[in-house]
Amino acid sequence: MNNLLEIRDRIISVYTQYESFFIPAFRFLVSFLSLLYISSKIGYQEVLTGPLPSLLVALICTLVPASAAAVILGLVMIIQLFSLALEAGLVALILFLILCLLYFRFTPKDAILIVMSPVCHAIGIPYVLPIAGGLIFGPVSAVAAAVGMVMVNFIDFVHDNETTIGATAGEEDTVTKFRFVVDGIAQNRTLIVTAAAAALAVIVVYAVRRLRIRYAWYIAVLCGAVAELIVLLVGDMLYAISIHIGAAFLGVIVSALIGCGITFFLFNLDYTRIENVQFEDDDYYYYVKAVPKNVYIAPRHTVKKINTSRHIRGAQDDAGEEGQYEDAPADTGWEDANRSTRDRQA
Amino acid sequence: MINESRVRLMTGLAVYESREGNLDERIGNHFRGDYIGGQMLTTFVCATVAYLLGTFAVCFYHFEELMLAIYSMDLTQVVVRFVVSYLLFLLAFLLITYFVYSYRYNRARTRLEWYYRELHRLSGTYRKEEY
Repeated sequence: MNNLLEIRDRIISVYTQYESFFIPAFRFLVSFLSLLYISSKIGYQEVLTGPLPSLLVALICTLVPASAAAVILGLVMIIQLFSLALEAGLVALILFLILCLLYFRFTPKDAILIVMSPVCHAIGIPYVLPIAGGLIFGPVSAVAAAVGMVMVNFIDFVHDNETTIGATAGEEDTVTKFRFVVDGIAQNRTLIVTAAAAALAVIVVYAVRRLRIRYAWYIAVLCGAVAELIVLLVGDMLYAISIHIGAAFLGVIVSALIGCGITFFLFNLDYTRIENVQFEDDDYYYYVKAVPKNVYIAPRHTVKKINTSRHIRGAQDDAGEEGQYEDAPADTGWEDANRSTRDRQA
Repeated sequence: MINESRVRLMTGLAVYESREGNLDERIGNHFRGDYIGGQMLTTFVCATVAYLLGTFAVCFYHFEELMLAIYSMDLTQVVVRFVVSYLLFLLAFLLITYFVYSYRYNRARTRLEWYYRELHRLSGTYRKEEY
């Protein structure tokens, strides 16, 4: 445990030292990978497809806040979909505008969950976002987590049905295609089940981590992961959704481990040293339970300096190496004074 | 010589300024009623646009049925349903806005009060040094 705490302290100290570098680098990486995912799945507009355009757009995403990065990502997606078919772009635009007008107005901070959802989906751990959302943000981030799931499932739906959606059609078929795309969201059971699992997991994680119980955060991560898994299993049994349960199980376990990692960094308490204190003022009695943080106390290294022998020092004096102490008598405590000053500084 | 307690005080103030300080300052420049009223007005516009977009999507989705039934349907009833559902939708979002922005206003005022108190303490340390 002590080793883990030492590693954690070192990571935190390195992070705080290079914070101004890490945050933009992380945002750039997430935006870039998300854009790559989008262009690999629905890259219908050549100008925005490929590593170089993704790189440039990701650079812009790095310079703006997370909510603006989500907006840029959404716009890229809409342009790509308009390039495929007017109807697909129109549906995406309407959903995007409704989301911006009704949700991002209130909670722009958790938009990072939406930006990260394509990356997490691509590496098979989309279930980590609800757990992280419940731990770091509040219950309202259930909306952001669900929107992230809707977004990636919608991208998959368009990718799987691009020939149907992209087929040239007459004017009378525009409505049919529009209905097809809307049904791809409203009647897509995989999308509904995963979005429901994400939203429920955020609420469960948030509710449990607020409880006044020991290891509340770790239990919250476990409960969130179990809730996600139960919803996915029930959804699979009822609607035969297109999720590979084995992969989902593995993904949920990895997500839970990442959640434990987040807890270790954000809320690491030592429950073995709980103190219950009681005091009073004019109006109340106070019963306080104080839980100390788990901190690593670094061992103090003391450097012992051994004085050089008299005849060597004499030779050094002759060579002028200790010129600045020439006038000091040999044993007046100069060495001791210097050493104690150094110790104090250490 | 460095005054450690003053450095601690200034660091706390600088951290606050760099995080919530600017936003709180902007919120604090308004009266409570003005701030919440302004936000509710913005929500009114946003919710109206969102509702119209949603209505457009629903109408376009049911375009064929709508065209077939347009001459036989009771238009007054349709308009009444549209207006009532719009008002309910708007009311829900205005209520959410009221609660969210009341909470944010109160929180910002509390933090600003703390900030000014700490600034006062800081200037007190300079005055003490002068005498």
